[in-house]
Amino acid sequence: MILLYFVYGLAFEGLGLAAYLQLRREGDFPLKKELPWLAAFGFVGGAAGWVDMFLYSGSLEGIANVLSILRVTLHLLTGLILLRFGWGILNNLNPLPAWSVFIPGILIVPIAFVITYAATTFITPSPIEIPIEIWTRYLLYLPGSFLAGIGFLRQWYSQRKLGLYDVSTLMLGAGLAFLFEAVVMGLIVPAAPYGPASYYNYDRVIHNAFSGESIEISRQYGLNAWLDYQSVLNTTGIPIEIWRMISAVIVMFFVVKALDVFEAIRKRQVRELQHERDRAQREAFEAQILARQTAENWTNALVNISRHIAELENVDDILVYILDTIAHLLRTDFIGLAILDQEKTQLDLKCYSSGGSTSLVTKEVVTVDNPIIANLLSNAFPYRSSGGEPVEQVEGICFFTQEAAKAVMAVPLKLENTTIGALWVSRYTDEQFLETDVIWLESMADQIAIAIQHGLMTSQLQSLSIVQERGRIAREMHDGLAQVLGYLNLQTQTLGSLLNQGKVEKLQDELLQMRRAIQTAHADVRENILSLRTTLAQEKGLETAAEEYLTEFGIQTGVGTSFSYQVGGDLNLSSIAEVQLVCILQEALTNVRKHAQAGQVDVVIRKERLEDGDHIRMQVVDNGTGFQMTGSKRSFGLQTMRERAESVGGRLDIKSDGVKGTCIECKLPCLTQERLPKQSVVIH
Amino acid sequence: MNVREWALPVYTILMQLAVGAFFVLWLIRHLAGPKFSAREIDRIISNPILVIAFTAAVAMGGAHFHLSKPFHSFLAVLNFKTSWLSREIVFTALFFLTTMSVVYLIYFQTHRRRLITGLGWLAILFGIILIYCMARIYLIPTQVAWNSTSVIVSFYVTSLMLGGMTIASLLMLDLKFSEIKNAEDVELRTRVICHSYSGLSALNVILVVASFVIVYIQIRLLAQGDLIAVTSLSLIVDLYLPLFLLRLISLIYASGSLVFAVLRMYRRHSTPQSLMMPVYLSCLMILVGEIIGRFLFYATHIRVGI
Repeated sequence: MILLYFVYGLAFEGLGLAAYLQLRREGDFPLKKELPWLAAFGFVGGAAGWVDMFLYSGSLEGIANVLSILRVTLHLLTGLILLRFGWGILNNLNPLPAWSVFIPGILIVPIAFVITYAATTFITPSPIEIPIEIWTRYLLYLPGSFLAGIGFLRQWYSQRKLGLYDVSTLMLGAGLAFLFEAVVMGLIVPAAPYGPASYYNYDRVIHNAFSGESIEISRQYGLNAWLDYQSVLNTTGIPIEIWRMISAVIVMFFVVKALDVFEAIRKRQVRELQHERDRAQREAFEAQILARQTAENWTNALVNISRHIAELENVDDILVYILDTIAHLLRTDFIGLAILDQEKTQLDLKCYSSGGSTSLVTKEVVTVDNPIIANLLSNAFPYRSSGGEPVEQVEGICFFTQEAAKAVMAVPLKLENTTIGALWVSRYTDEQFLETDVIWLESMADQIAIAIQHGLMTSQLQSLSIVQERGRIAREMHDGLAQVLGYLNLQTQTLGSLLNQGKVEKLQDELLQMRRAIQTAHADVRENILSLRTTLAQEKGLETAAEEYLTEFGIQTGVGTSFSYQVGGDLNLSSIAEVQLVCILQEALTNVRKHAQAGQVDVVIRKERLEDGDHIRMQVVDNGTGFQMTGSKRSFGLQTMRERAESVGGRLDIKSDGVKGTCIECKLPCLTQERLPKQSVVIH
Repeated sequence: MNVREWALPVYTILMQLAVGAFFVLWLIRHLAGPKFSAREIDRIISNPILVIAFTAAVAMGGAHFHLSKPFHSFLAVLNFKTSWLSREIVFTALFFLTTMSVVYLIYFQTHRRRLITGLGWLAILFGIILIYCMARIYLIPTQVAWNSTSVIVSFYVTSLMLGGMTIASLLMLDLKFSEIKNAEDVELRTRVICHSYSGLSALNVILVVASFVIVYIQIRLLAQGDLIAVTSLSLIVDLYLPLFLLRLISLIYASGSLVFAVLRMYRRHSTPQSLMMPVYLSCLMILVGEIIGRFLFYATHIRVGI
């Protein structure tokens, strides 16, 4: 028996030591918070077992009373620590469900009755140690072991769900071990005249009020007496001390194994966290690359759109190009672009993209009447669906299709802080648009607004050019043809007078002058016709247009011409600059014909690389009389040429000494890739 | 006491708890009227009223363990005109039925507020009569230790003491549950607790003092009584003295602990969550004290004659 008590105590001390050593390890794992209580339970429980051993052996007879008090105290303490450990295992490893907060409320009345009942047993004649031990076991060991057992069984259940069957088996063992301990340590108590261990009710007489009979009963009332030490021995043939030793060893075995398992779980969790961190880093890196790629795609798209605008392309073509770009970059199923009418009361669909093709709405008026778009126009803030919007809200947002939008994003079109329309995109799938998509779509809306504004300005410029050209023609006719016709009118009158007077010689002189005047007028008219006919049609280009004009000029005037075009690759001039260059050439050749009396004119166009970038240089050199730079009759034409050059950022230089002909040199800057957007802003 | 005799304290304590809790709950509901909306306050009391009904049901079930033939218990109502026991049973049933009606209305007919209020006060009236009948059963000349009007007063005091503490605990448990569930009514429950706990703790102190006064009166009556009464008194101050002292200590601890915790909460402006453990322990100790008191009540009587 002494050996039994020793092993019992040793098992608990071993448990306490294992828990203590585990507690000193670094790291955090689920059981760690409960380890101090487990260690304390092991140490104090082991000490209580060894005190039992000394009491049983009688070797310390002299201090038997002290040992008895110590035993009671240690058992009480062990029970309290076990209760705390059990509660921690049950509640802290895996949080209990919310409804469990009501358990103490439900149990409060039974607990109060049990405490009261326990208190009443202290006034029985049995020695005080007996009720103390009994109620220590009932109120502390029993619930403590039970809670710990249930706590480990919950772990068994959760580990099984995770598929960790090796761990769950150990948890099951620990749980069952604590439940076994609950029975042998908490439920089996010394015999006493109160229950439930040895509940002997009074002998009673039951009186039947209806029949008047009285029955005397002497059998036990309530639970049977198999829960005391003697009954256990009689029933199993094994004393309770052996059962308790077995229980202590089993608990120690499974809990110590479980401690290792918790450490293994912690290590596994650390490994999983590392994997997770690596994965997250990898994903973040990939996301970064993707974001950069996306940004590059959008930037390229914006550059290309700006180039199209700068090249004075048709606004409708630009809009189609922008919608195609959006459809490609945002992977949309439908794109709509609508503009407010002049009264700003109705939103008309201008352009749309659906099923991979983009179309302009030209034949009919399609009114956009959708709450999302209407709201967008009123508050001028972008809209992005989050999924789950009511069907009626996205109705009427996709035109010319039966599909329904499930993801929508819309931004206002703003021109000088005034909303002029809306641009929206949608998908037929649940894949919603991102916040960054809104930013990109707003950029596209800005480009659309710029294109529209640019189109309006170009239209105004064209109108202005027509007016200017009509004025120029009128001026030419007034200065040239009209003057000649007036002169001829006077000359015919003079001819009549000379004819009447019979002055034939004088008449012939006048006729010769009239002929010369008519020839001059004819040359002017032909040159004007040539100028009006020479245009920069897209298929021609500057080289062809200049060459044809120069050849025609030579034929008409009899002046020798040569043309040299030394531009490798693209001209890289804006359309306006090309027009101005041709106009300057025409003006220069007109001056040659009218004033230089030259026999030869040479035209050279070349590209040069200077410090401030590429330039197109045009030289018109004649071998005529030249002129003095001040007070010349040519000043008005020269001034016009200079203004034309400066209007497109270029300059005009004229070299003439009045003897050796004239050299007119025009230098216009080229548009580089980097300068293109900036330049486009200047143009607009 | 054996199991059959323990059924008596179970029944009387639980039924007094139910009546007292109902009264305190209805008082809070009435007083909270100007500060909270009807819907809010009815949501707060829905769980406590269910617990009260459950407690009454358990008490009624527990009382049957006191009977030799539990299935014949309904025959006890036949002597309504002459027997306080019959009246007790009738009013127990009436209290339970009206309480269940209130539970049904609060959960399924929330809009019938006037009916709920009226039925609640009716249930309380039945409860008050029930406790009176319960006390009158013990006022018999052959039982010297019981035959005093102080028994009636002590039953009412016990009822209010247990009821107040039970409602305090239930409000706290409900708050905890709402917090765990992240329910939207956490702030509302917190306000209700802050408004009601000062009154509940003050009520508890008054009732504990009243309880001590009743004990003093009962001891004086027994000391001045005949031999039987003195014998009963000797049981209290001799055999049952540890229990008697334990009861007094329990009540003092419960009352003091609650007042201290509530005062600390108001002084530090802390949340009511800090009261969880003190309130629960106070409620437990009040229960223990009153059950011990009921045990002593039954254990100290000595019958005169047959």
